[in-house]
Amino acid sequence: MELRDYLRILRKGWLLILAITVVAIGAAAAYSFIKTPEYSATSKVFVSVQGGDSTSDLVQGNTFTQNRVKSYAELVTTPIVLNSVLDDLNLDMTVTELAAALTATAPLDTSLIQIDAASIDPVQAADIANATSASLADVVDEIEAPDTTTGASPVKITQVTDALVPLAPVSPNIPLNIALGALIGLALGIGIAVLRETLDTRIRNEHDVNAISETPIVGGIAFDAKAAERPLIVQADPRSIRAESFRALRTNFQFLGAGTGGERRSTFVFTSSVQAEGKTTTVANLAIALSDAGRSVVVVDADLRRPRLADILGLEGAVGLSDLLIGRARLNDVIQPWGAGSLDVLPAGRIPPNPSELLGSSTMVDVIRKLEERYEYVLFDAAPLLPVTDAAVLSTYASGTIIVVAAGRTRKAQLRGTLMALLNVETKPVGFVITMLPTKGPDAYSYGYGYGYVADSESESPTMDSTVIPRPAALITSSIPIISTAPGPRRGATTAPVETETDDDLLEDEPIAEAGVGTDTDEAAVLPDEAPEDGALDEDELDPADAAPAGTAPARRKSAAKTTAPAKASATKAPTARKAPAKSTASTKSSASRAAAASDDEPAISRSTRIRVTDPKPAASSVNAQGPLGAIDEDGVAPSEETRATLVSLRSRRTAPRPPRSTARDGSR
Amino acid sequence: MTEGIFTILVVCSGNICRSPVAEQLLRDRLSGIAGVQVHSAGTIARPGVPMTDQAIELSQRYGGQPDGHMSRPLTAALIEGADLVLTAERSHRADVARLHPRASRFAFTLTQFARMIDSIEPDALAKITSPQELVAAAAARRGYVQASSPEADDIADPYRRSQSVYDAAGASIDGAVTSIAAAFPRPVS
Repeated sequence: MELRDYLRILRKGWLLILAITVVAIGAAAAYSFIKTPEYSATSKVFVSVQGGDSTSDLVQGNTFTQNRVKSYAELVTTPIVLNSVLDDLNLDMTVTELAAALTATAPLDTSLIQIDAASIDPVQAADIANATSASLADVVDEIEAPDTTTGASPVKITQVTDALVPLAPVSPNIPLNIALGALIGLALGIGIAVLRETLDTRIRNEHDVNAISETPIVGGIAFDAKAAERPLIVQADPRSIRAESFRALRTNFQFLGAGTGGERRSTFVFTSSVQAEGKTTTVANLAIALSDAGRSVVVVDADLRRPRLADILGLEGAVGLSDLLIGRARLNDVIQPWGAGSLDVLPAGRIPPNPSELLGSSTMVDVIRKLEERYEYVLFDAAPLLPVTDAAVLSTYASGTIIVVAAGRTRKAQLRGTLMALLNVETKPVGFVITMLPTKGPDAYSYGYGYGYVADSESESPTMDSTVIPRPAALITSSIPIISTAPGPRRGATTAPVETETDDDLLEDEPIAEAGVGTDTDEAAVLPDEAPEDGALDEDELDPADAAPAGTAPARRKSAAKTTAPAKASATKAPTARKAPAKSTASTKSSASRAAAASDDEPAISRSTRIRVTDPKPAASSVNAQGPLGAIDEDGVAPSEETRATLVSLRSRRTAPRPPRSTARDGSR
Repeated sequence: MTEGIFTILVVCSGNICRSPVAEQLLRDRLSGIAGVQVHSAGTIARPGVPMTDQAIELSQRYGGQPDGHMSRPLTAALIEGADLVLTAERSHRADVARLHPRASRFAFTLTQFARMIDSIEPDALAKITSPQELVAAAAARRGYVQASSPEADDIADPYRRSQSVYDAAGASIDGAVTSIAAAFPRPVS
């Protein structure tokens, strides 16, 4: 645990800690009140040696008394002294009891003895102290007297301070007791709070999720006590924090959708560990948010056991997916439009006895393919993973699985079990969505708020897109070209789908490198300005096999590595490439080709030319984002041995002199 | 879907209490509008059964013409021929959708449809010129306005129940029909 964790625990458990402290203080105060007050009286005696006039005698006498004083102090609690005290005062106690009530101390380097007597009766305390002093004087006088003569003892004990009747008790010490109580209470409270936190097996916040899996958290949904009453918050109250968190989720989704593995990812399965974690609400709101942004979305209720989607969306869910899967209805008949936007809904339909088999059937695959053709996003609301296998079956067909985790409900072990269930079918989630997050307090969602977007129309702007990107590395991987194929309403002039060259073409075709790759690449990369964090692209979060069809993934990966090579080659040929911009700009095949041309000595731009533009605006901004992109190159490309080898072979084929900068860069490796 | 005719189908269980009353009230309130026809059917109806006496009384109370109604069972063909299906309960709406899946786009419970219509902005309502547009606009409002409870979309079956249940059903039907009739676009002719 880090210090931050402890602070969080303190914030979380402050009420408990306070309560325990107050109780402890109360107990201390009560104890002080109940306890009988005790008084203490003090008398002092002075030990002196008689006789001797010279200075040396005095010094000797002084040394003698100092040696003796300690013994006299010990003598105070002996029966020989105390018996006479008991007799004098007629006390009804034993010698031992009296000895316990007495304390005699001899302050260092003095000839004084201080006698403290404690008693519940102040007068008696004073009497005992005085009587003891007197008795001590007598006893010492008797002991020290020379036995041969009748002469007086050389040691004389004089009472110098009479014990006075104490006015205030010495015990209980109320302030001290209360302070002690507070201290103990505080320690106890903190201990219990830490223990409670350590033993808590529920997932409370994104830290807990991160500790279990490295899969990025793509959304955090604020808790709303009225969620059951108005589940569709995105349209019921678009300005609320909760609606905002769904829009943030939408933004991340557009990045997930931009996908990996050469194929646009559009099919997502939403599942959770157990029931009632907020799957349906999340899917419905996300779908509405996506359709608000102009995306064509279909949301499918694949929970054929406890369908809720139609109810939440206010639709008739009597016929739907299950009827489709048994061939009792046609797709066009059971898909229902929702609202006025581009959102369609496929309810669950009649609850079948064998949901898993139905969802695993080849008809289901056909349905998914059909939906993928028609819509940009196909979202499945699936059954929870732990009790039933439906979602696991479905996840093998989808391009991504999202696990919904309810903060404060899902247990850590359950989430681990869920991940294991997905692992068993050889898939893994592409993201987590944490729902029911408290909006304040120690577990409050720590990002995603405070960006107050003016209107939905701005949702596509780079500003918005850059607000919540938990892990850019997961979204833009270093080795996988992102090629989106699905047409979208916002893609504008840069959307013309064109076949990308084969890798061999790229390698063989010299002019590509010569003229700056932008001219030959139809669609260029768009990386949001702040997306690339230094070194972030090193970690290849997404397994290509997960995202792309199994057969093609490795090939693509390889190709991507190779693609970087000519790009670098172009960098080495910078003087030639610098002549190119006019030409490539004139071609205006894509705005990002300008970006590539303008930054001809930035290999990363050209490296990413295989990624298509999804929005012209970010493309323009990528011109200004050379720095970070360069960083990608440094970190993302360098480690590949294959790339280096290709690069070397390419360089050896070229005769043009290298520009100094490239040389320096090369040397730095 | 006869050419030029907008057909409303009202559905309940037996087609002897709720649906005939709603049918007759709708016919009464929409009588001024040409090209609208209303009829009714029952999901578990036996053919040829007359309305109950209380239902006849209820219909007359709110201005309906209950003469000569005979029950008939719901068929897929009936739904297919309708432009708008209004049901008494959600279960009837589900039955309608099962018989004719496409109908889930234009099948509502009576109170649900009234609620959807009430939620349409007056400006938007003023722009609606045909009954088909009204149905589309109401359908687009689904999910926007939640019922106070799921049961609020149902009209309880008064058959063989006390007069008070009949009265409650009559009041619900009348309220819904009033809302629907008020929003129904009148052709400018």
